[in-house]
Amino acid sequence: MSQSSVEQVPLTALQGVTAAAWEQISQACAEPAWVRDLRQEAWQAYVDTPMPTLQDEDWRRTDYRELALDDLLLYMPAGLDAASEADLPAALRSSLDSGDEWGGLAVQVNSEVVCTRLDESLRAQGVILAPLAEAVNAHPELVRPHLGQIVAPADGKFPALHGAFRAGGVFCYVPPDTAVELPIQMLNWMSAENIAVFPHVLLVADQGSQVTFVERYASQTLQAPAFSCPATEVVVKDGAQVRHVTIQDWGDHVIELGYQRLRVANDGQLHTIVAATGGKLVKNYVDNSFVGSGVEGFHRGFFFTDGVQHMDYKTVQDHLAPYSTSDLLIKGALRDRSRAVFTGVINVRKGSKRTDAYQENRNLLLSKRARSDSIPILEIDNDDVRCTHGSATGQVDLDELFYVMSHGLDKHSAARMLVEGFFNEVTQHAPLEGVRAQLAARIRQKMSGWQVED
Amino acid sequence: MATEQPFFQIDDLHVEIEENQILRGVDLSVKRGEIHAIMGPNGSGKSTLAHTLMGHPSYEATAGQVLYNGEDILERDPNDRAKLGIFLAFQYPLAIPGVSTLNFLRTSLKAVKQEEISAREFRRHLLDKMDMLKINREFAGRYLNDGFSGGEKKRMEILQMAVLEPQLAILDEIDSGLDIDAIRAVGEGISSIMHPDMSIVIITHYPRILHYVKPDYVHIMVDGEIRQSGGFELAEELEAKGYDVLLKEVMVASTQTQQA
Repeated sequence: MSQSSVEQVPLTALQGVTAAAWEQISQACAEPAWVRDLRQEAWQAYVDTPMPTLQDEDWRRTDYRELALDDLLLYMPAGLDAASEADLPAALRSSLDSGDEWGGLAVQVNSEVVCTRLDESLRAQGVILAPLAEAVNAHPELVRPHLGQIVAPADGKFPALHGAFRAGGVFCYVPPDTAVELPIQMLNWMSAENIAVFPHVLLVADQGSQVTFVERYASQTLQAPAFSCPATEVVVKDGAQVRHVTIQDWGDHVIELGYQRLRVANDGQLHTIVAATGGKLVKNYVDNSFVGSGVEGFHRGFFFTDGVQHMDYKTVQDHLAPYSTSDLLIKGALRDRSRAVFTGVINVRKGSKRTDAYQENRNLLLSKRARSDSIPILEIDNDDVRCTHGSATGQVDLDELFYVMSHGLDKHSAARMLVEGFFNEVTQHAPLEGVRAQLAARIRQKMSGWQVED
Repeated sequence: MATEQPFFQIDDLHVEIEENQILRGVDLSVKRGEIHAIMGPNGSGKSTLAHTLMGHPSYEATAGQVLYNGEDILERDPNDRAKLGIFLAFQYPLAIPGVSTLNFLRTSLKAVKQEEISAREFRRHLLDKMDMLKINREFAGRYLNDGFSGGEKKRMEILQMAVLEPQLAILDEIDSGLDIDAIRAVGEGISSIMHPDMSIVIITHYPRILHYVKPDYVHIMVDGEIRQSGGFELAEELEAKGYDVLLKEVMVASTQTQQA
């Protein structure tokens, strides 16, 4: 069990987004100069970038003005000691324990990584799983080429904010031609309100390697607001195969503005699943960036909103090289007065000939008061490509309902079966049996109390 | 053949859909173990009858009654009718993506019989029925009707009937869109499921399937009414003459009856 330097230096709680605040975080982490410089660049970008407004195309449908950044504490210690996962509070353990077997595990609570574990056999093969604060000192040659380069301050106001205030975070490295059989997971947990967290994942799968990585974001529901501003950087090198799962299940008080970019080199394979059910207001950007040729990208995602949740989900299939394929399906269900926006971008850059990209979005309105927008954007700067997209939003189909009811199921059970089936087309692709069962259970939980409307 | 009271009886059934009158007084009596064929040209109201009998919410019965074991079931929900032992094989079976055939039918059987059945036991039961109907076992794990051909979907309807073991099966154009070999497969499947306590109302446009599912009674439906009833010979007559000629004869006969 390794201790991160963050844990050794208790940090006075900070309030107010200022240069002094991030400098204190950097000092507390005893960061090398190059990491501090990254924060400085990010801070400068943050200062130079105007706050997005409802006039910006990307933010037109997501009003985040309730986010009172200056009222939040910018660094919150974990407030618990856990030498291993057995010491974690029950709520965290139940979130982690899907019944699957894990080769590695990292847990971050608030701003601190509290424990990491990696199978000895993986360690012996050269696999690394470490708190980022440790990895920047121990493995700069592996971290430096990528940290803050995949999701960069130039990506926007909030990626820049993340770059300046990043706290905790985990680094995972898989050496060339190494297959990590058992999956690795990271849990980000928030235990306090009135805080902002900036968790980070940097996953580097070296040439010809294979790994499955699961990120979870979860908390109980608290009264006062909390803010999550995560960034995930995934590097898939030549011929590597990465399965990446994101499970976002924050409590209802959380505002999240998150950013992921997964960069895939020649002949790499990227299989991603995003499952988003939590949060009060969530805006997530998932950029699958195919910089190499011959890449296979496969993305499945779902969201399920209820109450007054607002979910804004943007995906980019960015084809920067020829002969790659990408296949994306996003499904959403909305209850009550919730609101969702899906924006799906297919970007085929010049020279990316023989690109084959597909995008589909299907939304199910489970209430007449729910509202969803589906916005496909195809930017194709090339001939000799195939790009197709489809989008459909509707209510539970009455003829399907009749069909199932005529087989003995009451109206409510029939409708639930249809909704579960609807999501099953996405969740069946989750790479782990226990995770699939957890997602199915979460979907059933989201449906509790729901009645199909006439 | 049973001789007691009809266990299923339709009296003077009038049905509207979106305020259009489709059925204008249908009468039908079915005893246990009987097979009734309802034939008629397109648009005569055959499928409306099938949907109404199963309780589709868009079809409104404005007059008449449908008695099942003496009880009027018109106010009953479709799932209650299924529990009573009624089964509808759909003309256009719906796909249920994300729900495997096995799961769907196990859930359905549990609901209809209102008893638990273990996954293992059900799987064996289903595979037996699939073997009997010469359906590839691989279909058990596939999403119900998702991407199935027309013929495959129809055979899945027969499989469902075999699993649910209804007392009254209403087969709505189970033969439509099928080639000759597929009609034979479906027809033989139905007759292999049939038993003396089960009744069938088979709705069809074409007489061919009736060679495999031989009806005791044949009814010709036109404009929302049953205009003529007879035995199997009526189907054979229809096969020989076609609807146009037969219907003209029916018209003449009914005019003469009115004049007399």
